[in-house]
Amino acid sequence: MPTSFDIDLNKLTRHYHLLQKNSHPDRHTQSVETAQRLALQQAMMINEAYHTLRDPLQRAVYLLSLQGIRPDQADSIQDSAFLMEQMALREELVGIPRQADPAAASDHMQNTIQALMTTQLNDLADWFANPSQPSVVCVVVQKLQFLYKLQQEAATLATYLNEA
Amino acid sequence: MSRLLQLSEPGATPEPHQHRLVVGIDLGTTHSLVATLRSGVPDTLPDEQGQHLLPSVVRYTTQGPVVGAAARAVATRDPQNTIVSAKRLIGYTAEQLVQHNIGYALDGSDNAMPMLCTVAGLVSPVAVCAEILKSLTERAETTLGGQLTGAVITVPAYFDDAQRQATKDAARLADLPVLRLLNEPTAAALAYGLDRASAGIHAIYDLGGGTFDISILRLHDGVFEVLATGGNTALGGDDFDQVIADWIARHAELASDQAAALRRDLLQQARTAKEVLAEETSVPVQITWTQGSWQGELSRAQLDELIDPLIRQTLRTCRQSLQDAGIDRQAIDEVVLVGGSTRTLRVRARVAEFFGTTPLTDLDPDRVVALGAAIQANSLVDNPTRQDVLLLDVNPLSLGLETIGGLVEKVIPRNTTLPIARAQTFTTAKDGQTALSLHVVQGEREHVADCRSLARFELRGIPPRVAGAARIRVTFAVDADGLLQVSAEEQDSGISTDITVKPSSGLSETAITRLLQDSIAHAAEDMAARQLIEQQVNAQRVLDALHAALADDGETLLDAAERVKVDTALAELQAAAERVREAGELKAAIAALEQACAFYVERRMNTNIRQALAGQSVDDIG
Repeated sequence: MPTSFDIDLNKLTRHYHLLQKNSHPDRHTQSVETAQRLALQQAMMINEAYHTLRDPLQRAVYLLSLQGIRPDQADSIQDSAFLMEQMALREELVGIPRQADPAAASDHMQNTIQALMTTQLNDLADWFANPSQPSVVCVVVQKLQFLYKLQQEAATLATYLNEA
Repeated sequence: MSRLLQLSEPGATPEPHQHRLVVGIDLGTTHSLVATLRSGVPDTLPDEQGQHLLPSVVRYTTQGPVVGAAARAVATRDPQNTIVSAKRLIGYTAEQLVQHNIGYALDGSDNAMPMLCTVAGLVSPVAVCAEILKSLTERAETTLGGQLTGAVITVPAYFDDAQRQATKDAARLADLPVLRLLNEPTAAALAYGLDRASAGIHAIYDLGGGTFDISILRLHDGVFEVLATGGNTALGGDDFDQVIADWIARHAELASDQAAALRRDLLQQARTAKEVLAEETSVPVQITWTQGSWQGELSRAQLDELIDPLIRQTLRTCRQSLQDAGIDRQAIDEVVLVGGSTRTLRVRARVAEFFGTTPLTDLDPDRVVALGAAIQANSLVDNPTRQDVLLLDVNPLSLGLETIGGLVEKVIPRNTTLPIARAQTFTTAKDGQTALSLHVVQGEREHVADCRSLARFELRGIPPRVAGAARIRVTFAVDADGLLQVSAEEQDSGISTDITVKPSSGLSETAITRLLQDSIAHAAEDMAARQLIEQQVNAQRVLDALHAALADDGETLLDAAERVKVDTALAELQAAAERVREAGELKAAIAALEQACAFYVERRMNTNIRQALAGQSVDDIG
């Protein structure tokens, strides 16, 4: 497959399955021990690679690292509008259990986060299509990291609401 | 056929191999089954009386244990010595069992290894499960006329590390080699042949006696990928019985703390009523005790009302798993019902309503898991049938480390595809700190106190530095059985330590050895002979594998000198296999061959990966 941000996810999955059909430990139960150990290591690497490439943010971070660009070492975000919005969303998230209909509020929150992420993911794709300054893409990656974290917390809250 | 690798062309393996006897075992809470493939068709094996289901009940007497229906028949009369639902007890500490109020006399002097007090002495829940496994193994060996090479044993997908380890320990006690622990829902999907469909997303709703599981599976290119699993290890049909028994007790105006024997009577009445209500719209109920009796009627509508809260709990878990899988209910193509409790009409109706599709119920929900396990067992030893099924399973619960403030840092989140290795870097908190204590936990909650503790270990000998300067890389590796290994390495000095997580509530190695010694039925020479046969089979397997590999690519991958080296090593093991009469010596000879040929094996594995990728590009062009 080409080293590219814009990849065919179906094709990636086909590659992944093909590789696991070769390397998964279940395919080596009757092999010699050395082969079993290698198969385990390969299967672990393949899972990790698939996991990284399947997710757009992780894929971007990986591709940038190949170019020596490290968003985690770049200057932190200065976009105060974005940061204010994040704080507001966080406060809203914390207040969801006290809402009249927590489940609906939780769904709404998840949709809002999803929409914000889509915008940033489009920016990310644009950068890879027409690369400009590394600092530009670093800001997008950092914003997405904020949003992923927020999404994770929203998902945890949804789990909690499901269990309650 | 044994091989070093999956060969690129199926059928390229030279010789047909001997048929190995393998079985699938559903070790259930209320009953257990054993199944095998005969002429390519999976079937459960009945006992001499023609019964397929072995009640998971063991009664301890001074003459030894009694397993199955005979034990269940006296469960009410001899409750302290008759252990039912042992599966619900394994993998728990004594403290946890006391909290669960299990109704047996418990010896908790060793918190990690709780013991039940019976007339036959102290018995661990793991040993109870081992008795059930032994009984099924005997049944299979008698029916199939030979010694079993191994078994696939199913576990609820939601079983945690301790419970999985305890299941493996039970098999060791029963002297039964485990080919693989397989998640019950995945087994069910295999039994329904969902792996033979072209593609689709399936939900497996499994409500057994004591556990509930939901799994979302995706099939694509002959690969079964578990997208998400969820469940509750303490919710099942037994709980239906409990709420019905409570209802009877309430109407009979019985005290809530009934004597053990009366409680079991109530539960028996409840079970019967539940079963009748799958056919009828109401059922007469009657209970007699020492001071009186009560007679009444339970309608289906009343039953529905009683069990609805329990069904609702299962549907909440379904919703969560769909969310974890990132899909909508509408995306589900098929729903498979597993477990005896899905016979309850209300369960079927509510599940159909939730997923908006009529569930599959063609196979006996009690047997479906064992059938799937047999298929997988066969596929693992590569008996020549549908070996194309590949299962990509996930870890059901998040794994992490305790960090400052009693918080959990997740290293491997739940629903990550196995096998997986993940590393994270940690550092020291104090100046001059030379040791780091690692606490491995499992669970979804933020606080360590709310998660399950799996293991604690220490990394010592860290070079003293200022706080935050040391870089300690902690690696979590989970194998395809879902069992965890953790290692820690200080990056600059290279000092390291590791631990295979023997969960804190599993049996310790010495305890297993002692129990094994206690329970060994055969004499020492039998054991030696058995071990020798095992090694002879192993040696033959390795020889077959190497011969097949050499025939395939020995010419292309090895130069003349290397070929001589491999051939010599082969000849040495061949000679040893014929000459050696002691298991340990033969084992060493096998290890020597494996070491001599390691370079070749590695080369093959790498070549194979390249070929797989190359093949794919051609497909893409085509």
